[in-house]
Amino acid sequence: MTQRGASLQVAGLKKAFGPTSVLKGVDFSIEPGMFLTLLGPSGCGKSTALRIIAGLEPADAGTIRVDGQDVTDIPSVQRNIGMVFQNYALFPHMSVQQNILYGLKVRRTPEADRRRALSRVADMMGLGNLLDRRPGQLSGGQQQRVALARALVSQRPLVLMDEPLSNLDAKLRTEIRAEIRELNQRLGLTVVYVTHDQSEALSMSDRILLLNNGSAVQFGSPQDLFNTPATVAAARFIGTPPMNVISGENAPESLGRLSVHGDAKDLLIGVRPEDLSLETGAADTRIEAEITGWEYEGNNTLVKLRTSLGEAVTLSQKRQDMPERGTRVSLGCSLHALRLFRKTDGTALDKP
Amino acid sequence: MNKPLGISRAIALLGVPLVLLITFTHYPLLQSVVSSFWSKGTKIRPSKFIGLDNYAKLFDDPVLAKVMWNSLIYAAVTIPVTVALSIAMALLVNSKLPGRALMRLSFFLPTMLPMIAVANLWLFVYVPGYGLIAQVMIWLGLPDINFLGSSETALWAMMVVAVWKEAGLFMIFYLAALQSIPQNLKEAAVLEGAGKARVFRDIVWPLLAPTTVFVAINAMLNAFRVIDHVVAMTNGGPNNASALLLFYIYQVAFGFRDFPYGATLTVLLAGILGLFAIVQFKLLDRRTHYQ
Ligand SMILES: Nc1ncnc2c1ncn2[C@@H]1O[C@H](COP(=O)(O)OP(=O)(O)OP(=O)(O)O)[C@@H](O)[C@H]1O
Ligand SMILES: [Mg+2]
Repeated sequence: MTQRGASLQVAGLKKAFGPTSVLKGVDFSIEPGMFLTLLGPSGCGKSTALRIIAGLEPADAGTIRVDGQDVTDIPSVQRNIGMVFQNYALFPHMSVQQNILYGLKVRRTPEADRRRALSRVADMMGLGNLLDRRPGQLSGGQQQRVALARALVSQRPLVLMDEPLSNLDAKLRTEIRAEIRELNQRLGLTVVYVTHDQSEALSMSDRILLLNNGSAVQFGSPQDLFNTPATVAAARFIGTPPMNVISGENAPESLGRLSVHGDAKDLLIGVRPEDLSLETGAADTRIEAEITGWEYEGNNTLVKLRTSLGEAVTLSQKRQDMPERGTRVSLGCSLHALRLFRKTDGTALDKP
Repeated sequence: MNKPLGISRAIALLGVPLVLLITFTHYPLLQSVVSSFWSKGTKIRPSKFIGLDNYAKLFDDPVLAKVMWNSLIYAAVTIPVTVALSIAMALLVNSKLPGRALMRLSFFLPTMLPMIAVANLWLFVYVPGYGLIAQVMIWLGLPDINFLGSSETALWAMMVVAVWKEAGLFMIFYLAALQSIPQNLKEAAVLEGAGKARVFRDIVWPLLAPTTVFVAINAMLNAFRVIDHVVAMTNGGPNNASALLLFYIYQVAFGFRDFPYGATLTVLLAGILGLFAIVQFKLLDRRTHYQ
């Protein structure tokens, strides 16, 4: 079964609730069949953006195009968009079957087609023996599947999902995460997915739009966001643990070798915990620091350090033997692992 | 925490409410049942045991037939009208219209007034010649109608008053129920292609069902229980056209002082109300619990 997704272009999207500006001009564009994640901290406007795309909320400014057609001013019914709501929004008085088929019933799809569509999504979501239950009689994960089934049964080319996994336990979350991703790839439908979990975003998406305070911080592939964060905010949001961002004065000579112009104290250095090492062998650059503690995480160990300027740094390593607290070490790192940002506005300098 | 209560303390705790219930509810009801088996006593002929004669009398009492019919019409009309009106008002007041605080207040106001005051207010509205309606009718060049004085209109005029008074209260219940329906259920239905009417029919109305059952019980009880406005406005007339069951009981027992027959009618009323209660609790249990 194949189905073509829709492309989606959003330009200059603005929204204010009274005096508070929630979206301050957001742009992005994705191809049919792509998986886009809107990522950002709580309250940054992710749900608002999704609701505007769905037509549940009017935009103050900007345009939304689905498959090239401007849908900004047409009612949500006509946009042909499926949606999975943050807390499922299943109809409590209808059975699972009635929930799933509600849209087809409203749109007067012939009975035979309805039955076929139902058995298709019920198989896909493993809901076969739950069809007569009410949502109240289902576990959180099962409700999740029903909500997905309801959004997918109509085979709409664009499906929006608002933090659909936020109420599930870790194991179920990884399972359904993989299931959603597989559906997206198998059916070729376009998905816009909202989450504030950066690892979820990295693992599922073709594109990520990182939002902060209603503005787009960065738009790109997961690799782009991880390897070349556009701002200090992006660097600090992505990765577990996130990138270390410290003053340039900690390693002035390596900045010189990167032939960066300007004063070291006007720059910030970003370096991922995995790219730092405690080994004393050859390294392009060295940062003096003191060990303040460590956290054992099973597959790796996080070493907490403080630089000579008093800034906190985290290092992640496979080795499990730990130097003592208070030991002075010099952290090695290769030059190409360093990211540089302007201290004034936090934007990245061109990749050295 | 879970230490069992001493038996004497348990009896004391159960005893107080039990005594009150027995004294003021069960005993009088039982007394009514007992006295319904006796005849009306006079100075010369003392009351004597007559078995089920009073109950046989129920079947060929033309006034009772009339009164039962009135009560039935009263219930059958006021209940759906009250439900419809209170939902409509709740929807209106729950929307984002300007001035809805004022609307809420004005819809709720009639409920706060005592029935007697409401009855007096409406007497002025209905009075022929110079009442509110009469003046409008005259101004429109229509014939003046004595709403409370003619047997075709008296019952209906009273139903209007009852609906006017009760709808505001039930609106509050519906308003609370409406506000507890998650917004995203309606949005989900809209995204699936449902229009406003469809959303109401498929989502809002079913989720209001528990409230509707509750409101229907209360409206039903009111239909058989409230007589203030009958007493104040028509006194059951003309020719029993606006008499309801409870009013008739009141008349028989305290007007004609036929306590045994009044007791028989009371047993009938208690039976009817008990039946409603059973039916509706069954409904509440079966139909309206989703969790
Ligand atoms: N209807 C509304 N009226 C006023 N303010 C609103 C409304 N809806 C959202 N907001 C505000 O807009 C901002 C963004 O809200 P939004 O729901 O889009 O955040 P979010 O990114 O989805 O957050 P979360 O991850 O917590 O769900 C918040 O500050 C919120 O308080
Ligand atoms: Mg949200």
